[in-house]
Amino acid sequence: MAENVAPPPSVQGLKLYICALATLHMPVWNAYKIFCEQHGVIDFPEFEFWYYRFYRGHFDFNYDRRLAPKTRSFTELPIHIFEMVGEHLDMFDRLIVRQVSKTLQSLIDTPTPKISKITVKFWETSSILEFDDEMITFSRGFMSTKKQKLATPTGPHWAHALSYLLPVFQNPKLKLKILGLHYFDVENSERFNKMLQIAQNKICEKSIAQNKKFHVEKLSIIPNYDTMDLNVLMALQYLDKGVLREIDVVNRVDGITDNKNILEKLVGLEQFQAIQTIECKGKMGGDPGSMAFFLNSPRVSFKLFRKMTAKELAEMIKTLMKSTVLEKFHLSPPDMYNFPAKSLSKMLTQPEFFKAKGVPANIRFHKIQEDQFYKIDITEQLITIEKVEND
Amino acid sequence: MSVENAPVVDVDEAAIPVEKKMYYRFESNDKKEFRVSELAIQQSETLNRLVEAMGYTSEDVENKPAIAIENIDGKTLKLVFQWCEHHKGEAIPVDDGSVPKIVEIPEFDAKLMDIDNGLLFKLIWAADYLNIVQLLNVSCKKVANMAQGKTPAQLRRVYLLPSDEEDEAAKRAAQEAQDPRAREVEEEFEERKRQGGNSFF
Repeated sequence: MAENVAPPPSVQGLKLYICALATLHMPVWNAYKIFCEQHGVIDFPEFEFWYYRFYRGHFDFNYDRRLAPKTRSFTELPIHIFEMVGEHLDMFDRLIVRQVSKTLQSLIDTPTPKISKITVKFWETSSILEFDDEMITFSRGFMSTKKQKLATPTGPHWAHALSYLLPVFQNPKLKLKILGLHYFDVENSERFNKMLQIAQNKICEKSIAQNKKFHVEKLSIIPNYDTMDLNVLMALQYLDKGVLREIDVVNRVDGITDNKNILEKLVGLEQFQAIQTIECKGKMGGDPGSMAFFLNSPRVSFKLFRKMTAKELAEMIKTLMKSTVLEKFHLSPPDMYNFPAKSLSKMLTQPEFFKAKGVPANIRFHKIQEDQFYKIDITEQLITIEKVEND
Repeated sequence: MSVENAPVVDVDEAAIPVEKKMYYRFESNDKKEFRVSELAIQQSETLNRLVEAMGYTSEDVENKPAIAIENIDGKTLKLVFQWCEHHKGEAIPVDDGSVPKIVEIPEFDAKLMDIDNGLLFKLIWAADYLNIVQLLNVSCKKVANMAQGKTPAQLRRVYLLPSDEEDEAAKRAAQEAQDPRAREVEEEFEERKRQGGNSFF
């Protein structure tokens, strides 16, 4: 029979302290943290075992733990249980859990991500990642959500945000309906594009699929500075042209005329040519240079940020008629303004302006060489150009 | 263990329809016996199918030996059947595919699962084995809740998760402990795989 050896008094003292904590019925992790602060770090399962014994009213301090029934550890659970636990975690926790080890990283990354919208916002003093309705803010050495906050290592907030974003984009199963990008300055877009490039390379390393592009149905870009550099749109080159349907650009589209090379490169991208709809808000002149941005897209929706004269609007419509792919174009006036509908309609029906037939409220434009007809509707709040059958 | 001495799960008999008042007997791997109502058993797809297939009558459940559940001990099974009795008659939830899952842990379940991790993981394992969907949902949610707000280092401590270095060390130790001949075969197999073959045969 084994000799009964009394534990040293210090161990009894520690058990007494655990017992005192257990009587307070606080969550075990909180009790553990208090214990560690007072007595130094001990093995959590050891603490937990004694905590729950005392919690349940078993006050035998000399109980031999080896006699307790064998328990299971988390790592002994089947893989699909890990995945199920992962499904209960929000994005914040998933990003933390995957840092525990490569094994957990693989388990967290394996299932198809159930994220349909990612918005990345770079500001001067913070970066924000939004995964559907969940928002994670990186600022002043912390990453936080509405519910929790964790310290981040030293380094700029944008670097932390991108480091958490990279594994999300590295998942080849990621399928986004919307990718939103808010940039504070042009460097943000360069960094984000670089992250996309790294993620793309990683995916290609792991799979036989070469040149894998990201599944994004709509790209929404809001540059938050005065002179938009078209480099912000170069993220397009990493997106799957067969999937991308819409691009939404806000502010400063007129800047494109300042950068002809980038414009040509952009319009030349197969992704840009495949876009079904472009939605824009910004200042725009009627010159062919800025209009080229839209001429390659069948559907354009544009909200003006500044007032335009009837002549400028007429010139713009005339330029749009040169598009070989245009199906529908919507133009809205700036807030608090109306279009000069009457004078514009009158101008468009002048024979010397371009060949148009019809009445001001419903102008039909005939592109004779291509034998295509367009209907132009003009109201004070909306100009619509729509390709129609010749009836 | 005799039926008279078996631990009996608290049952709200008033809630059970008269025609359904049949109790099955189950035995854990440490020979503890439980009597569980037919309605409670329906929470477990595995047990429900089992008793349907057996087609026991009221006499059978009393006279035949208790149904053995060999993979689960009495302490865990007691929790499982307490949960089933409490939630008997409730609809089995269907997975709608949403992530993160929206699961609320009822007060009863929270109290039931106020247990150490070792026992909680056994409960999860049992819920999975017996295919008790909602118990699995709430218990996985409980584990996920425990992960909230913890750093990777704290998670390793709570769940005894090995770091990458510890994982590698464990693999190396396992390899070193392996029979030398088996290791040679494995290395040869890996070499053949690298050369394009996929089998020794």
